[in-house]
Amino acid sequence: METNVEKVKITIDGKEVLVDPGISILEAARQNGIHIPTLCHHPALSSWGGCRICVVEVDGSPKLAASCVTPVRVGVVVVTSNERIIESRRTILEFLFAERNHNCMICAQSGDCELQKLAYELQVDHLTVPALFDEFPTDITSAYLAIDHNRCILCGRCVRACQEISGARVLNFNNRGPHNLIGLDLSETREASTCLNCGVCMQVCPTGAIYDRYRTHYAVKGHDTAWQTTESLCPQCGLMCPAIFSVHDNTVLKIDGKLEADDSRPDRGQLCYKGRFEVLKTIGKRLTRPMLRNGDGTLAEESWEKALDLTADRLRAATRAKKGAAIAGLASSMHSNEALVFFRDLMGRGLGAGCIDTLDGAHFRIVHRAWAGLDMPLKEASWKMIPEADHILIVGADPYQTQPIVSSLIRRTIFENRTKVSVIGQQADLFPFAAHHLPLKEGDASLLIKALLDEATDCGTDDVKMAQAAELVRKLCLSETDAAVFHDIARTVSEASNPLFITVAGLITAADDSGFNSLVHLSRLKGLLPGSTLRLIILKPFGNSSGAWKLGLASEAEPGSKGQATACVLFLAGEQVSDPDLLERLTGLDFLVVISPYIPESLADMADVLIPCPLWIEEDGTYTSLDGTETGYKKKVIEPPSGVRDSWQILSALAERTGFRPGFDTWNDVCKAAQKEMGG
Amino acid sequence: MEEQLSAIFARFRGTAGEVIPLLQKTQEELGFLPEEAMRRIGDFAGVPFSKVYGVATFYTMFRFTPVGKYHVCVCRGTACHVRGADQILEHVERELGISENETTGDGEFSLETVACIGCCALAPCITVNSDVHGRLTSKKASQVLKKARGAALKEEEDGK
Ligand code: SF4
Ligand code: SF4
Ligand code: SF4
Ligand code: FES
Ligand code: FES
Repeated sequence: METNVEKVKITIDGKEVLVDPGISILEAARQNGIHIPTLCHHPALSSWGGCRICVVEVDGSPKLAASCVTPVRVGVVVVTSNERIIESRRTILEFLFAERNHNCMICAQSGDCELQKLAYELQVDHLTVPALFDEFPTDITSAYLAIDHNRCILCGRCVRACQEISGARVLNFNNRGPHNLIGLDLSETREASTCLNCGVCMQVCPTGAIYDRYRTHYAVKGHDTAWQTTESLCPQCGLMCPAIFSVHDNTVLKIDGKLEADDSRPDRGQLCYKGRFEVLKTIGKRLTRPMLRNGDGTLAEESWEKALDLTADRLRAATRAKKGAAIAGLASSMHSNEALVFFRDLMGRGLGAGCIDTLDGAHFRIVHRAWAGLDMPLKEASWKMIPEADHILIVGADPYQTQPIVSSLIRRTIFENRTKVSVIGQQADLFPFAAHHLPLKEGDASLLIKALLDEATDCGTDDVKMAQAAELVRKLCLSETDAAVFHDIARTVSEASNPLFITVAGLITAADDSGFNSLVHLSRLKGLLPGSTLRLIILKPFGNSSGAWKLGLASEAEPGSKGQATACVLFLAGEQVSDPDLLERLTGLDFLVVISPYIPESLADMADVLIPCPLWIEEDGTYTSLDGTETGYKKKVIEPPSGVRDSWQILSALAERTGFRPGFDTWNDVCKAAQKEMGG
Repeated sequence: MEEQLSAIFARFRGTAGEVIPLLQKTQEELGFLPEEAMRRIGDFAGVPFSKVYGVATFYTMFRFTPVGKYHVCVCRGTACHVRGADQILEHVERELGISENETTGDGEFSLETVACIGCCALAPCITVNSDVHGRLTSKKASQVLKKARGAALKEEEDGK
């Protein structure tokens, strides 16, 4: 299938080799196992040829050539290493060390630094030029990553990564000569800039100039050769970005994006601030042993056996006392499909729970109701469509908060394709780039979308509809400028041939979801995508919301409509409960057991039993994508703290003690069951 | 500023290739490049802010603070350098109480250094607006500045 391209014969270090035409001398050398050091070059980025550390001798020419930007030619003779070349590389390296402060001993990157490694490789153990560096600023205004210009070698990788991978185009060289600095936007601090905190610049930075604010000092954690890496995925939002975890001593040191990933994902291997940084953050005290409420009302550590026995007894007693509705099971949609299937079956078939729901059940019910009135299955568009759209309308959603890569993809599309983006509501990080921004007043969503539907679908053709729309717009009391923006959005929607709508279920209050319906209608009127898919992306609040909803974990009926439960099993995945409605639902129960990785602060006075479970990095499991069409396997990255059992073990033990036979005896069985239900 | 920018933009198409002429015209019109103007240029040309700023700071012709009524350029070209441009600069800085690329609080003077004004025979030299002053000594430089200040005072009085 591959067209047969004529290979080119070249000579590298005396060896004749055949290589593809058009590739660089550097690539040719690497393909043949010959090492050439590089600094400004990065395989995932375009080549720049700025640092000249990769110089080689070409056809004996006295002028050395930068191999990363020199293409191969038929018959070319390349020498990659001789005294002259080494000397030239060493000089460059010395200049780099003399230009800024590279005091490795007090640098957080020491041990995982390309500049440092090169110095070892080229045996630069002292400087023959005076160190002339000035003091440069350090910017620590972001909670995630810092930039210390004193360690920057101006290789420009970050600038290219921000442009080519993230697409945010925040970084650039500022000034010139000795004043040359990497700057954000108009030389702003990271916090004031339009930086998305994706950290791609940090991943490609060869030095400690851009570094992680969460990370343990590498020097403390040993050299990078001692670490293990695990390839897995990030399950935090449904985009399932491939991620590479570096681990040492059962601690995650850093998380990298898979930059050289295939092109099936338009994100080009980036990660967002959640996937790269927030995982490294702890949000409370870990629960490592079960805890029971004592006679004196305090929680005290107890053995697993006692805690499980008591839980099973109390749940069984609750069922006996009040048939059917006695028990409620509430799970976080951050759990894997396997954990959720098991939990659902244990609660439903095993304990006859009256209500099984998820923490994001309210979102589900809005979407579910909107669909109930329609004559088509719910098929949402994939976020991967974003680069192809010619207009993107965001209503009420804030992808930077929920699915950050969606927001960086939108930004990239604006710059790369000049796609028009209209924002209705809040998405501050897109404001400077969006074509339109219309504020959304609380309670106005339905009216506004209805008006948009009328005006956009009958723009100028149907006088009656236009009059209706005008009436609705009047009701909205928009200011003159906002009204103009509104009309412009409507026109853009009506003119677009391949638009995409992005929204969030939480936009609409449970009482009034007609706006959501209007949006569905609008996206339908713009024509379905292949596979009867709507031009609509519904952002969801949890990493596995789609999976949980598909598995029927979220309740279709309003919780509590079947009578008040007296006992509840709350299955958390690392979150703290702060939603007042939920807290309200959990008060006044006879019995509350919380299975959670962290001590649930807000429930410390309410829970009768606390059972520790692992965080997502500590367990295997599958997750379902945002649009519900793909499944990804998330591998265990580190072991849970000692004493913590797998979710699967906890649920099995409870099943056994309550006399329930779930039909899966091993972890493998659960996996198969989940896979079958997800249609995989 | 809004009106001036709109008038400038009206003469362009809004493409990435127009950033430099846009910056030039804006500086011509406003005397310098305020931050807001650079943002507007980015929006208009569809170019990220970082790009606008990168370009603007690369070329020495662009400035980011308003020029004073009297814009002083001290030449640091080779000929002037050899004949003591550094001392002249230091002296002017002391006299005006500002450093390179700054403007005095009263907006009267701004100071910049340039490489060769093209009258090396008169080195060391400075310009005040479009007037060249050559063969300078510290004393002569003071006189030049004093004269400018005097003119400024006089204008003010005349205005009264
Ligand atoms: S964190 Fe991401 S958006 Fe911010 S400067 Fe780095 S690459 Fe650009
Ligand atoms: S911050 Fe890092 S990647 Fe960016 S130019 Fe400096 S050394 Fe290179
Ligand atoms: S976009 Fe989602 S899946 Fe990707 S890194 Fe961020 S949270 Fe993880
Ligand atoms: S790596 Fe080739 S020039 Fe920098
Ligand atoms: S060097 Fe100053 S005028 Fe030429």
